[in-house]
Amino acid sequence: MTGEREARGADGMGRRRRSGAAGLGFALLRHRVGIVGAGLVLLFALLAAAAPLIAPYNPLAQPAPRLLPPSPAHLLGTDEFGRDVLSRIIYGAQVSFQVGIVSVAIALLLGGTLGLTSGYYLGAVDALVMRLVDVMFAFPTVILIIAIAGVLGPSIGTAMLAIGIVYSPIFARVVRGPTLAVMRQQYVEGARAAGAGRWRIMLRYVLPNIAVAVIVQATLSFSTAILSEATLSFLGLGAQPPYPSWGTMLSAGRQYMELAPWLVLYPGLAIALAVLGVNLLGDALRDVLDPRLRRSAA
Amino acid sequence: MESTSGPADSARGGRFPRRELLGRAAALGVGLGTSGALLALGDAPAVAVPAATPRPGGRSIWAAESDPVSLNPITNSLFASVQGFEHCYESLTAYDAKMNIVPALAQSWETPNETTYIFHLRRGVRWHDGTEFTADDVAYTFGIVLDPKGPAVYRSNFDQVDKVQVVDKHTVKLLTKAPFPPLLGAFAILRSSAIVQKGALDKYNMETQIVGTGPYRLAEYVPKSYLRLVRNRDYWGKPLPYLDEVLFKIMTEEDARVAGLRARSIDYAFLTPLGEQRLRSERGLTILKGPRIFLYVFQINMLRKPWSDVRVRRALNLAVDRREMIAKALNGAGTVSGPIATGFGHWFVPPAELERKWYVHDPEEAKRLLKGAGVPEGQPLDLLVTPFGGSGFYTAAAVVFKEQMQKVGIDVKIRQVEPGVFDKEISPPTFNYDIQINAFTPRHDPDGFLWNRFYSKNAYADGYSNPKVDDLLLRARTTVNPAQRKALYDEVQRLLLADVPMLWIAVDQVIEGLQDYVQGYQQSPFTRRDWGLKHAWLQK
Repeated sequence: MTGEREARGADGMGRRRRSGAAGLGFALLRHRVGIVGAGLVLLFALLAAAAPLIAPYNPLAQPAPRLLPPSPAHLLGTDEFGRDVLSRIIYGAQVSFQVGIVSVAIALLLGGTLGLTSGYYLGAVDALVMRLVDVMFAFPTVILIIAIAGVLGPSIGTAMLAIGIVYSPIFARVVRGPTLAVMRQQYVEGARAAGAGRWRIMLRYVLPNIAVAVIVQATLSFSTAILSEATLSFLGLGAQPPYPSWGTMLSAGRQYMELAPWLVLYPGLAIALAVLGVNLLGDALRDVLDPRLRRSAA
Repeated sequence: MESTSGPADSARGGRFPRRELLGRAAALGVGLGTSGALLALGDAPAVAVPAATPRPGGRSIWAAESDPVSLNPITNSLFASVQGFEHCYESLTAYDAKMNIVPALAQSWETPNETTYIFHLRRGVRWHDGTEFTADDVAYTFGIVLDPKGPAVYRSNFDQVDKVQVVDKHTVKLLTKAPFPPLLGAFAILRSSAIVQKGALDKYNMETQIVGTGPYRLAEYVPKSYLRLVRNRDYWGKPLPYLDEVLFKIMTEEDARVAGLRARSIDYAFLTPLGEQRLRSERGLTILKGPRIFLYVFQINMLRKPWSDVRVRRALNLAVDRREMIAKALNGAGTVSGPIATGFGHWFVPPAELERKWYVHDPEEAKRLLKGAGVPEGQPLDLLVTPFGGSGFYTAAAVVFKEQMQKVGIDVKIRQVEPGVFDKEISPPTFNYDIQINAFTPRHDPDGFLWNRFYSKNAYADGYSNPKVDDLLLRARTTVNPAQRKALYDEVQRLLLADVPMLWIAVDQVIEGLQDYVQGYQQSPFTRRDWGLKHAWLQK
């Protein structure tokens, strides 16, 4: 899948990096689904970044009567402690984005390193790493995350670490494939002949050429990480009370589902929209970045 | 659905002949004042409003909110286990629905002196396998329970029992080392006190089978699924029980229980306050509510600074708003309580006094006290809590507490751990917490709420020591005269309330939902169901 794209790398590498950002922006703007995705992601990112400015109330304060239905004073109602649900959802975006970014970064760092070394060295190293990855793939993702988070103790930090660890094999796979292809390219041969060390080859020649696949995977993992955090928090292994996270809000609101449906409806909606947004953006990125798809679309 | 429980059922309930009614009522010594009124409902046939005379027979499906796990009455500390075997095993005494101690396998008893109890056993009682119940069975049971190397988990309930002697086939004598007022309750609570058949340990698998003397025989136990009980036709308490068969379906999720009550597929379920709110407008259901002996507390670690300072603990007590905590963490279904759980016999400090004198909410005074004790603004507090059990109280209470303490400058850090870790952290010698949220489950004696935690020489008294309290507790547990004993507990509780070794919050409620056609059931503040089920009957 990556052969064609990488074949252009030898001459196009530097140029694409400079014009990439702007070109990508334009391409996304032409992509209708991409606009929706990017819009949603931007919206939640804004909520997360500017939460203290936007949120109408302190998300931890309990001044209002409990279980108030949505009203002008509390647009999404209040929860079982009398806290404003809207404010908690806004602050919850912080948790979700923090988890998404940090855990994907961990997964990328761990998995990417493994995949890169695996694809570079091949042989025994490759076999060992890939079997390890196979083993991790064999476990159901959620169970593995719960096991790790359970052992490390419940907190948002361990939740991010657990999600990062469990998501790393997919990055190892995604990185290894293109690495194999790039390693066979003449410019790599050339670099080696010119005396470039292995680190230089990996970082300067291989990495930039596999970035596209990694970016797309990172976006997709970002959305599942948000979902995993919600799952962990739902089970009491993620964000700890009283701090707001969409998952803990769902979990706490569950028993009030019949009496106060807004306690589960809106956090659920937030999760759904955020995940949808990131997924749409990921799809669009793939369409825009994959030359094969772009050509067939044109 | 709802309409079927109306006239049609009542008509069936009223169908049996009047003579039979009279006969039954007479047998029970019940007056007939309320029976047989006739009503005409529009075009519907005239319907007899049934008499409050129990009608035997019928099959009923009840929800059990947890799996008993084991049915062994001697080795088990799980309350769910008691709820599993309580209909089949009995002890010498029992609790009625109002927590009075009443005769069970012992028909009567006498105390010739303060350290001797003579129990006269009921005659003609048969085990579920048909053999006769005798004093040998009692001796066998206590042989196991009192054996220091034996498996009984609640041996400490009988730690003052010195000897058990068989006088004759129907008489047993118990000698105690010291005057031991908790003895009769220790039988009734059914904690390592159910009488088992002689040789039971070798005869059958006590984990999953029961040979008892109780009103119901265990026909079948399928773990995590159901217990099937059938009426013991030879029960000494005839005409009890009324129901022929009771299926306890294990339904751990409240959603399932609520749905079951709505769909009339179960006749009984234990409910949380939320479940009750959901069913409030449902027709054809009766909701019973009463105080439950389940005392929620914030246990303070007095081995640590600054909590060892009584001024600081008093400040915490002033800063806690119990009313808000009951509203938010117990969904309003609770009553404030002192050291002995509100509702526990006549032993507790009246809630009115607690609210007026001991539980005044005054954050300003709290701040002043904290300042006087040199506690800095932003003082951290490690609050240990487990999210499991306690009907969701623990985590919710932690959140409310954090908010309340923030107002007096204490920074509560909630540490949520699983039950295994929790137990380790709160046990001696670890005591790794500033405050931990916990609960006292039902005890058989007022001593049970106080002795372990506040008698300074006990392993669980995490740093608390007051010689006056020690002295009173020692005297109270050996004083037999009820009035004197009450005076001692009154005094010691007020000393404790002034010392604040823990923040007693509240007791919650027993809430149970029954179909209207289930009659005769009575709640127990212990969440026991044996008395209620034995008296329950179906009006349909």
